[in-house]
Amino acid sequence: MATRRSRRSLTTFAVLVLSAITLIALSLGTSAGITSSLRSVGSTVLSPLVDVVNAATRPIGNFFSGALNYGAVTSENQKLQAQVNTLQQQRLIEKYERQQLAQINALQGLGFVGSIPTVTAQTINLNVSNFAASIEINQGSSSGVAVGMPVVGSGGLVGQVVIVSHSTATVRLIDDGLSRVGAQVGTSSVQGIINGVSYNKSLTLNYIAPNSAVSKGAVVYTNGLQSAEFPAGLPIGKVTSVANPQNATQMAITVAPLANLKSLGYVDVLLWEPPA
Amino acid sequence: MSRINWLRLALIVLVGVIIQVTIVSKLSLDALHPEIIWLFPVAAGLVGGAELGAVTGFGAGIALDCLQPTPFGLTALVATLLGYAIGTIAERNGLSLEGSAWWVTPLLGAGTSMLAVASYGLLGYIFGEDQFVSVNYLLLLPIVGVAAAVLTIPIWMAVNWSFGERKGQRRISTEVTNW
Repeated sequence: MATRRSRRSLTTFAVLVLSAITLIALSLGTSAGITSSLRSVGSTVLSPLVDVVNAATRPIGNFFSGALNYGAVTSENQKLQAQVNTLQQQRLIEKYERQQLAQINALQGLGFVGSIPTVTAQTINLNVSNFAASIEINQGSSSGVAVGMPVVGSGGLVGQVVIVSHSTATVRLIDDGLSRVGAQVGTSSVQGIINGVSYNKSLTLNYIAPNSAVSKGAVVYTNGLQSAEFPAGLPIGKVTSVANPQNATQMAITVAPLANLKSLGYVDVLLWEPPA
Repeated sequence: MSRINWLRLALIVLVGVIIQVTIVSKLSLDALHPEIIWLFPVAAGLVGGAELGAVTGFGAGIALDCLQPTPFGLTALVATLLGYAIGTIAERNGLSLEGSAWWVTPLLGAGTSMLAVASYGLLGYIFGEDQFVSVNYLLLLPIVGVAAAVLTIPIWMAVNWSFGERKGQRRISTEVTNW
């Protein structure tokens, strides 16, 4: 009797473990669409409950914040910071656009960044998981937000939407270890991939051939190459260190995000999806 | 286990997942927050045995995975392993938290939660998530441990309620308290 029960437990356990490993393999492999769909279904079911609890608990949080006279100042500061950063972002985009104007006019089919519609969202949670750099925003599929859309704010690219429910979305920040962004240094032809490392750590610019023309302080933009996951010309960060290690196949470049990823009160979701 | 017990357990786990995402995840220190989700498979394993520990862990893990931008299924895997391991130990030794010394339950919750977080990081790394080693475990593990110690008893009581009365199990701390 006990043996039969124990055998049943073991069978159940084996099935569950195999199911979990299969899901992990699917989510990390080329079939991520399957797990993304499962996640969307689960998120859609759970999100209304999450929204209700969030709405119910927000006043409590605000009460404690208000008691310390902290919430109002923080909110105002975040709004002002967002305005300053938007202006800064516009300036950098204009600079990029001016420099690229001749090339853009000559090439057809490149999207014009400024014409992309946006949805402004408020950050309602930071780092839902201890193991991922992410934010949760208060706009979801009801506002047109979809998985894969770029998110900007605070001076530059912030990240990409990875989970969407009806009224909220989760954004993977560019400093997350899973973040990959096709990048271009200034207006040069130097192109590589910006990788996140971990929350609150500098980004790395990879696949740049040794002795390429990359200087400290240069602004790095999204390159918008064919099938890229981001439109061209979004400022990502500034190069903070450049090194040419001996016998290395690529330069060692670190980039500081232009967006203030520590203070993301408000962000803009670009209603732009990668071309199929 | 009757259908009503399953429904109670599912409801408790669902509430736990929502509390984790909406409240617990906001109680952060240096961007790190407690994780109470591991306490559910531990409690279910202790109260209902290995199979129920594993099933509870899988369900709770999948629900949380739907709301987190981490590899889908990883929380479910770790929670399943945890629930099954604790349940097996409890079944083989006839252990129960009922009537045990006051410090045993919080200590067990803290220890198993910290073990689960460390296992999550290690398994994530094995599956190719290199950034999982960059997490500040020296801060994360105490945060998780302290919160688990505080919340183990209410969660164990809630899970115990969902299963109904279970008798004939030995106190987990008999030998220790007799020292």
